[in-house]
Amino acid sequence: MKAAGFRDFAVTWKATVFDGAPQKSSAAAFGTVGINFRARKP
Amino acid sequence: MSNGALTKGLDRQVLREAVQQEYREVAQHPDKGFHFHTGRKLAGIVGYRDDWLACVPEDVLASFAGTGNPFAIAPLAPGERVVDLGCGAGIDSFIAAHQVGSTGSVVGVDMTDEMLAKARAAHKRSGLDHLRFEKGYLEALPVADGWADVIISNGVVNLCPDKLAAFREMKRVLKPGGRLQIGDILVSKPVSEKARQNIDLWTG
Repeated sequence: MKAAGFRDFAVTWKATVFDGAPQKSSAAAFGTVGINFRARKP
Repeated sequence: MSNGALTKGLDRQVLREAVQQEYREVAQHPDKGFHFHTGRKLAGIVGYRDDWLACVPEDVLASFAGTGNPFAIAPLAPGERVVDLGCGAGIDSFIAAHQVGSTGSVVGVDMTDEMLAKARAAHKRSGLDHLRFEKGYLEALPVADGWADVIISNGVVNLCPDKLAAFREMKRVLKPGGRLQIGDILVSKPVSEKARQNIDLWTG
């Protein structure tokens, strides 16, 4: 994101969102979690 | 899955078609059962408030397949111009349209025809003149330079093979000082080059 020119990047939230899904997911194998993030164009 | 620029050895068109196939199913058969949660249950998991969902048509909500919550980062202000990247059936576009009001404007962009058809049908019923849906790709947005105050997205950037190109395009359509409010995924374990080229892992 920095390479694209954005500033003030921040992850504001992180949580497990795939657990218990109807079909088996590869998410756990890769430690995948849902996040929210923000950034700003200067 | 990829954190860098275009993933080596990955056929962009094959990946796009695989993603479209997956989300075509989410549009047409949202209760089928996927490797991710969907619909109202998912909206609860990622913290969507009931008063936000009150403005979302039920068939649109059923096809929700995000991974976060752009509105939890900051509320959208009345009058703001918003682009919703990978809008799917339009849940976040409808919420954004209500937050910015009739003095604002919202464009939902998606590459999957069946999602766009669902979003446009719901939009037609809604009568919201300041909301529209367009077909497009993250690397080539159908939006003018410097048009948007805010870009929102939810669970889509991770499906794009060339993230640097996508973020450069986001920068192009934002005004100076414009902001990104994005829900997506974070991979905390190493991903091998072989895994990066496995399209089944991108969609599952």
